[in-house]
Amino acid sequence: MKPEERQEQMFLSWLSGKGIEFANPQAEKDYKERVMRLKEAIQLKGPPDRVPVCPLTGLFPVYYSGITVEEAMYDYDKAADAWKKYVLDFKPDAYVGTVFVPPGRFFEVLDYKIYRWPGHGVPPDISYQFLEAEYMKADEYDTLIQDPSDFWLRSYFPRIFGVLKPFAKLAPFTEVLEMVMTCGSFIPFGLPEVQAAFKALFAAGEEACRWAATGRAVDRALQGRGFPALVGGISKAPFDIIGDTLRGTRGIITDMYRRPEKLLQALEAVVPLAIRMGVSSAGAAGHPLVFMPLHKGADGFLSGKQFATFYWPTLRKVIIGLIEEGMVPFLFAEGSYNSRLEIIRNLPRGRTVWLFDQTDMAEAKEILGDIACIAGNVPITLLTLGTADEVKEYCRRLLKTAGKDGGFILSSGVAIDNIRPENMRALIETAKESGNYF
Amino acid sequence: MGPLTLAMAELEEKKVLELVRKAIGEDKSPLEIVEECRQGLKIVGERYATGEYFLSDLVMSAEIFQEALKVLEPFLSVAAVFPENPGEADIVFGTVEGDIHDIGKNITISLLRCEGFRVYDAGVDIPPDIFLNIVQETGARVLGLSALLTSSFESMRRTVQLIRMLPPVHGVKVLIGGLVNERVCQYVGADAWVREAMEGVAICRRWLGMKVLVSKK
Ligand code: B12
Repeated sequence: MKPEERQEQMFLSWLSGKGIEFANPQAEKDYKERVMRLKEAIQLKGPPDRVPVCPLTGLFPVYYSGITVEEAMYDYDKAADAWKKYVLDFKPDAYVGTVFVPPGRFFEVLDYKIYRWPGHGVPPDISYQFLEAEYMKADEYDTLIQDPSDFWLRSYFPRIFGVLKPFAKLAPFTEVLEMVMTCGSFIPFGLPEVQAAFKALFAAGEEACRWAATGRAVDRALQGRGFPALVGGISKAPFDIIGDTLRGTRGIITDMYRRPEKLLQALEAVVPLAIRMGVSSAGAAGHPLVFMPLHKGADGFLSGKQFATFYWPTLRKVIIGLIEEGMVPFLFAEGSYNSRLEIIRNLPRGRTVWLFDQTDMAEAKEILGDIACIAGNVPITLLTLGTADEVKEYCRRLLKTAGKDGGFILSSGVAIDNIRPENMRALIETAKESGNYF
Repeated sequence: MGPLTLAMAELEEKKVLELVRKAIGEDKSPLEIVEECRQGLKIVGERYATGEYFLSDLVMSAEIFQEALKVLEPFLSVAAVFPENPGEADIVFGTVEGDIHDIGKNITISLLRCEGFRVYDAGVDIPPDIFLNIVQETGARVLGLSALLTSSFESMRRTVQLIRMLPPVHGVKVLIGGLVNERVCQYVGADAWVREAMEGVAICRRWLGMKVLVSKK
């Protein structure tokens, strides 16, 4: 099957709503109209009936429903109610699911080290925060390149999960070969501390299951009422995989100067892993869109040359790999991407979505408009501090420039947490009032 | 522009370190060597301001400078202060609790060290009481606090409050930087605020006098 046929099949799977119990015929009709609207905006085969509007909500449902972030992370039912309330009250064309409220107890069980969250270093009503450090050392590139999974299991896990520290004692699984080369690898499983770590894993797994079940119930309820999920799967750019949670900002920057060859090899090594991650998550959801938050590629952070050397080549490989499997990478370009627009144009037409934050949207439309659906970029500052009228005014201008002739999804520039409800309403209403193509 | 300044401005780490070692071998005054590096850092800052350089280059320049200082340390009359040996310090500098942004902090510390100030780098995510301990231990007269998160202004405020409880003989002044402004400065009760490293250096010079620089030929 050709990539475009695969993509069509993935879209049809999403559109069919197979397995969804619709509340009534109207809900089914609404669901299909909404998916169709997104499909047409993305494939660039002519404009949909109107501009789809899909705010990139982060913790907005939490704040809107009046619960704390802590409650949402610990009481899954409360989070579920918050999500249903947000979607049913505001009626966006697609919603971002509950993945933004990860389960607090799960992280407690594993003694997760690399974030703070409510009750663990931040107040109850503040979002979780990443604690950057070198969780992978500069001299560990070869270990990562040779056997990424082994690196994750025996070097990375013991650092990021306090409870899994004993995993450093495990033996590499690839040493299980002949009968006489087997038992040795299992000795670590007999150690009490390793066994304790596994017991904690079971408990963590049970918690993850409980959390996921609530998430699925939310999806069933909302889709049954006619609202599709915005994305099916998730993945990351290789540069961010290594730069965010492994080497850290300072680590990866210095690596570009001090050990560029190793860094490039490592970036290549994680390409297939990033493709697999996107394909398996979106495949399981039967939904082609793969969300990819882009962090360290923004203007100002890397030079044009560094972007073209270290960031883009492997990101492009992941994008193409996903497209070949019929997926639609949904790239969330944080910061601004003005100087990157020409280079990212080098992609097949109608196969990606680019959600921009501070990028000049008229420019993005001009340069990227015939290649990709663009999305964004109502500024979070405006949504937070502006009035509803100002939000509407901004959205109308966007619809005229970026929305011209289709290929556009109206959204916020970054994830929305705590904004006034009337501004959310203004954002969504403007698409419905002023976003019609016919 | 000398070769060391040029190598620094071009972010050529190996060359910088080579030239620093060579200059030491030739009995050049360590402070003169530091000054050449600092000129290079200044050019990096200018290139960043004009958009020729990027955040990555800024980070790398601070990194190279730290490495150069490590080489020079044994030869400096005013030893750079590293966390391994607190000793005495003029300035204690760190990112407040709940915040781990340190790029701006590191750049500012580099510049302060260039000026000959003995700076103790307390690191990131530092609780108020730890700041207090370090200030007492080192006898520093300036406390530099960095914060980029709105949510960390509170810990900044608590840190300043604790410092203010020291007996007046300590006379510790607090300078804040990062994503701060006059309102934040008033709220947390600091003595001064800056959005730019060189301004911070100027303030420290004013507060601490130029005593450290007199040893320069
Ligand atoms: C790089 C970065 C990161 C990196 C930090 C890497 C590192 N090792 O520092 C990473 C990815 C880890 C990160 C994480 C987070 N970040 Co951040 N980050 C940034 C970013 C893009 C750049 C900051 C920077 O380094 N600037 C460059 C330096 C040189 O400038 P500077 O810090 O202002 O310093 C200058 C002066 O201020 C001065 N200075 C600084 N401090 C001091 C102190 C004194 C005493 C003196 C004299 C001078 C001085 O010297 C420097 C040179 O002139 C900003 C956005 C932006 N453009 O500012 C967001 C930003 C600061 N981050 C933000 C957020 C929200 C986060 C996270 C919470 C995200 C998350 N949910 O996980 C986490 C928080 C982690 C934590 N607990 O701290 C927000 C803060 C919003 C807010 N108002 O609270 C920002 C503004 C982005 C945004 N628009 O949303 N971040």
